[in-house]
Amino acid sequence: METNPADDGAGSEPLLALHGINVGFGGIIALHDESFSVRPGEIVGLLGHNGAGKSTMVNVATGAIRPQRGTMTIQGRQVTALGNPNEIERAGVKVIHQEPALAQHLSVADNITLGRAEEWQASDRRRDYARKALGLLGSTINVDRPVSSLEFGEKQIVDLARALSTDLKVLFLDEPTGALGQQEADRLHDLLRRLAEQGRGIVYVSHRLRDILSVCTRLVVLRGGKVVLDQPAADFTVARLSGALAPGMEVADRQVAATAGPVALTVRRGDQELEFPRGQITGLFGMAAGPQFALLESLFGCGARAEATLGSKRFSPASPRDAIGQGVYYVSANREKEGLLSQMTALDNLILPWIDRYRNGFLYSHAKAAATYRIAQKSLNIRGGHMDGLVSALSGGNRQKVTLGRWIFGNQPDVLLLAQPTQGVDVGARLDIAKALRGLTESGVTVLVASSEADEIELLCDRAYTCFGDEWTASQASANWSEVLLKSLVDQRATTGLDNEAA
Amino acid sequence: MKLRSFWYFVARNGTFFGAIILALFFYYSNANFLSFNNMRNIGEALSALGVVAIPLSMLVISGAVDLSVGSVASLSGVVAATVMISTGSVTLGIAAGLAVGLATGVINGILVSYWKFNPIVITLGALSVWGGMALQVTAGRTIAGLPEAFTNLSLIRIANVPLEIFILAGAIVYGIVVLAYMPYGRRLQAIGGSNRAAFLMGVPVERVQFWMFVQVGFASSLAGIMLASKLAAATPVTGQGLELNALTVVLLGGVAFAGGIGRMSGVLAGLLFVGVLRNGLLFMNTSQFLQQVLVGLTLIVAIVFDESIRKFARNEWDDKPLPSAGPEGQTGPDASAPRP
Repeated sequence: METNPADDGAGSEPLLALHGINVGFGGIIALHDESFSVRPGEIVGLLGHNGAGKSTMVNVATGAIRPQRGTMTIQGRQVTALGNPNEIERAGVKVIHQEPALAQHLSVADNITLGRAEEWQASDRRRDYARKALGLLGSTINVDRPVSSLEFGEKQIVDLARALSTDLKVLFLDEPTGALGQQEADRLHDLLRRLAEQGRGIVYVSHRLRDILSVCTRLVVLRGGKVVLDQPAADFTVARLSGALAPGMEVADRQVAATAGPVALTVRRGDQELEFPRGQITGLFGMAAGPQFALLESLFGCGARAEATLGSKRFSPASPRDAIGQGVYYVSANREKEGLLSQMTALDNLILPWIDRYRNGFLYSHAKAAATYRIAQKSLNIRGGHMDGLVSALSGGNRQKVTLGRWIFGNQPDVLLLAQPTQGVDVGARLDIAKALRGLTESGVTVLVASSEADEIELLCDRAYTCFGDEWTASQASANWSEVLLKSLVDQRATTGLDNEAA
Repeated sequence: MKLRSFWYFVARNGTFFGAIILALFFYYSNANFLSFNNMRNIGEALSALGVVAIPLSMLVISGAVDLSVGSVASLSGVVAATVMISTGSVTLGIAAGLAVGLATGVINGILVSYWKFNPIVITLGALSVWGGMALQVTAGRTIAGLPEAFTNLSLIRIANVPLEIFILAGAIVYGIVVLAYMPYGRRLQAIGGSNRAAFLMGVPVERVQFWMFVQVGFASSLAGIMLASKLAAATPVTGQGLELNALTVVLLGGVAFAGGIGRMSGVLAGLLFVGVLRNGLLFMNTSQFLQQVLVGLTLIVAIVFDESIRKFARNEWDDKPLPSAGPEGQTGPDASAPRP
């Protein structure tokens, strides 16, 4: 069935279509007889909880997984080599993952031409080629720079340029804004709109409802391996969309801000003093990879030495072990690499820092540890898997609950430091986490949440500092707080006059 | 469902089944293979190797490796013999030999665990340094004429079982208890899986691995002394190749070379497999050289076979209709899993 590749316009034949796809792994549900398509000019938002089948859908479409049953067409032509990523990429279907897949030590030009015919051309031609590819995105990154020296957003652009430099028909993006600040995300969205106007099809996978609604033209929601909704994006608001994602669970009413207890932690930054009272959740809002994250690391003893006072004593931990000994615990934003031991069981992951406590004599007592796990499981609503199964068998939201539970139920924290605790977590888990943190503050714990997402701060916090460079501005929870936060970040950015600062 | 758990079980305990099949094969060719005497022979031949391989497997699980174990065994034997002969005290000799092991372990541990140098590079250097030192001290000659009180140690038998098999049994109990039943064992797994994540969980990553190096050093010197007592002589090359044999056992036992994954039952199966294969080939009058070829070949075949059986097991699951329940709470398909 030969089709015209120049064929475009709405209502035309899908660029890519999946029919009757079935996938399952080791008893875990993935996709039940599902279909999915993208037409030229569309930006399709693909949503669902962790484990709902989004990633599986993307993996089937890009050849990373071979479905047990089902067919796929690209521009009406049947793809015979399902599960062959190279074949599918050659047909013009590309995927951009959250973490750009680039060779860190090679230059930008080398990365863009790697594995292409141009790889064998003279250096000048390759650099021209790379410049042209970047030009399509309106970027002027020096093509001789090693990728390791680029900012995160720039890396993403290089990755995109690599995808665009060939005959691109359909682009899949998996959580593309997960590590981006608002402005970088807006820039990415403009770019996607331009690509769609040129007749390409785009599939956008994300947990960030605001991003999805701002850029997508059609929404597809998956739940338990089934498509439960497929409608134009214009029909939705953030509230309606969260309702569709987690039926029966309304977006939590913002509680009245908890009353502040006495100040537990004071941190000196330059000539400013940041104060963190007991019984409140204080947000630290800034750009992606901004100074708010460095602040948390220093308070946990794994960055620059902190200048702080905890209670009435000087607090400057030398190592995480030191900080933990003083009741200060930390959840990293990089859950998979820094928060979890994927080859160990869920139980081991929950109790490891406190393992010396679960003993009979000098032997480890599984029964005592299991009791703690059960409490955490109940309080945080950890679902699926088994405490003695690998933690990697749990879905993302439940893995996050394990990392969080470690610092709540193993030992009562004094200060809890959280970096993007609800990033990459579905709406249901987000609310479970918010509830658990609320409960903690009632028992007088001081909680700090660093984030580059205003929504996350608004959901979790009572008050916040917005930071840019090393300027910190305080604000209180209010209606439309996330807009207030974003505005204050933009203002600070303007007054500081530094446009690319990200400590 | 049944087929799935069957293959899963086979994949996880493949080395053990391989050893059993091999033993039955040798038994079929010669009924004496499974006699008490021959089993004792297997145990004796494995004792020094097991004493090293068990702690070494735990070091590999913690994300490091020690290639110097053979040289440390040689040097310890030589030092113990020299001290014994010059002082006339067996106890002092053994103490000196064990001190060599502790000292080398401390040095490796400081360089690798605290100063973060690459374990392969450091212990490869140490392999050469300690091996060369053993040769230098003895001028390449064998030290014979060890006190009878020392050589008699290897002749001690309790219920007709030689002392060294009891030492091996002790090493096995130590391995199982430490790795599976002590908090320390879980810390080893944690730092081998992700050093950074373990560090952020407050695990004293340097100290945990440092002590593992010391234990491996101690075990290597113990093995060297056991060998010297058995041979009634200390040679500077006694331990040569011990590092390769011990690593073969460790990897055959399903321990991931990258760290983080491994079970003591697997390591013991690996030890059994190597013991049965070696002894069986001896029974069939195969040459020493061919034995080495076959042991190495087994390791390669085992790893290849392991991959394919696990793939097969995975496909077996994939073809099942989709149940809505999660996995049965058992460790998933990527768990540690041994071979043939």
